[in-house]
Amino acid sequence: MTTFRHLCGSITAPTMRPCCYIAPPHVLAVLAEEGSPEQREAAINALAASASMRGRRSLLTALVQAEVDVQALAAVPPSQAKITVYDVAQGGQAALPGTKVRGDGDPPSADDAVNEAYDGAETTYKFYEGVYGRNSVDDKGLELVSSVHYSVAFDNAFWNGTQMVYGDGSGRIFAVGGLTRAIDVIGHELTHGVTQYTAGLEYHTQSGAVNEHCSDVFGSLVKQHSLGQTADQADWLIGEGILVPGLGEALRSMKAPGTAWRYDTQPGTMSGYQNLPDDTDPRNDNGGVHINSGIPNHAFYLAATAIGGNAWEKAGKIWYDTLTTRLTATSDFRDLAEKTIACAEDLFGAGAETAAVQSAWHSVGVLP
Amino acid sequence: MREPRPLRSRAPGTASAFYHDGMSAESPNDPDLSVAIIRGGGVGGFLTRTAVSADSLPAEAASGLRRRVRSVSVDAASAQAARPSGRHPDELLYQVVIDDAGERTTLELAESQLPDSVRDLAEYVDTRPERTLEIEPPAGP
Repeated sequence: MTTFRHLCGSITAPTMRPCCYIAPPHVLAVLAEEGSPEQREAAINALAASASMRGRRSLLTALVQAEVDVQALAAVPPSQAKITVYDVAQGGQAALPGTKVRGDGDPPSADDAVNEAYDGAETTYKFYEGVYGRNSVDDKGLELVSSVHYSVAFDNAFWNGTQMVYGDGSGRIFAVGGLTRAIDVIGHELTHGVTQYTAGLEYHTQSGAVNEHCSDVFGSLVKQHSLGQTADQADWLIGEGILVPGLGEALRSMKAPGTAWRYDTQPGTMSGYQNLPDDTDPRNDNGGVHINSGIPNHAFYLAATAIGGNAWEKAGKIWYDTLTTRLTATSDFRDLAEKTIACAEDLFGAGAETAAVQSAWHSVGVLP
Repeated sequence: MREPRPLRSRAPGTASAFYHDGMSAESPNDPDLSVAIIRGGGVGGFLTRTAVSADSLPAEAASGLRRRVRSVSVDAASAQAARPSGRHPDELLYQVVIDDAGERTTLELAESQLPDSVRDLAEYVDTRPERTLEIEPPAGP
């Protein structure tokens, strides 16, 4: 990715968080065709590194049409995801990451959880790389480490600041094996890593709910992208099918917050906002981060379906740029709303896309 | 920097008072001991309460519960002194409530802070067939 960096303008924001402006593909194509030898090489490397396989085919077509020497592309290896899965063998925090059971180039394991964790991390890596040109959660190629079989009948998956951790599920809340089967849950957790390396949203109250919201957005988009679904075709559920039968169909619904499972109390508008204490009591969920995230979740759903098409292309791009270059550690719902609107206008002008984002935030009551 | 997670007890004093052992670990009759593990947060944001009472357990299992409670007391001082390094997204938050002979002790910890003794106690409660499990939305009763 060294040459890719040559085409990025890096600046340091006042918060000392790096921002990276990536040259769009059409600019790279022009450089690949008309630039100096160094620029041509860098542009071709960048194009090859940032394009997904599907995007690569489209790109190849465009380059052929532009009479660019595509032979050079074949000589450039695609960027490599660094993905490793460990088995923590029912150990706890002190036993992490466990024993390495699969790395890049290794054949599939006999253990489904290992393969699902590996494939889910790879799918998420390729989504971020192909769609947004992001090289892993830190944009510097950080190895994606996952540990499976955490604790005993453990009903959770989480990002611990350095790696993914998956329990097996008890069969009483989460279906046994369910936590590694859901690609949107894996995308959700790895997006917590992206947030950690970008906006750094504090994990409590509204900034925590924005943190959760961003993970739901990109978790859902990873799933939609992998299935080739448009915004209208998507189910907009998070963790569909991972709960035991009878408890509910999913963890959350971005389309209809509050309807995903038996005791789902997520609000879809500010009128249902729950102002919970920000304390250590597990009843209060760090000030309601998994509850109030329903409000921005629904705003994203409204914006994405109003814009139409593939949600990751326009709505997703607006949210991605906002998360990675505009939000701060203490951003709240209003800040998110104002910055996604400004981002939409910068990306697409004062047209339908910006109007859709504005309308969404008004609909959920974040903006008056 | 976040405030340290509290170790609360109705009993006055320090962590050494976390557990008042009125019976020997071998006592088969332990009718006044019960343990509840309340978990919140997690990727689902669920609130669960898993509980077991010694009087619902066979004598050997009741002794096992008592033994684990005693181990938790050994770790209480270090747990109390623990300073959270930050909140990890989607990690579980635990509240361990031990009612023993009319005295209640409550410990609140995050997954990343959990001492082995607390994890062992939680797993023991989770796997007892006599346990009760309640699932509620966050901010439930």
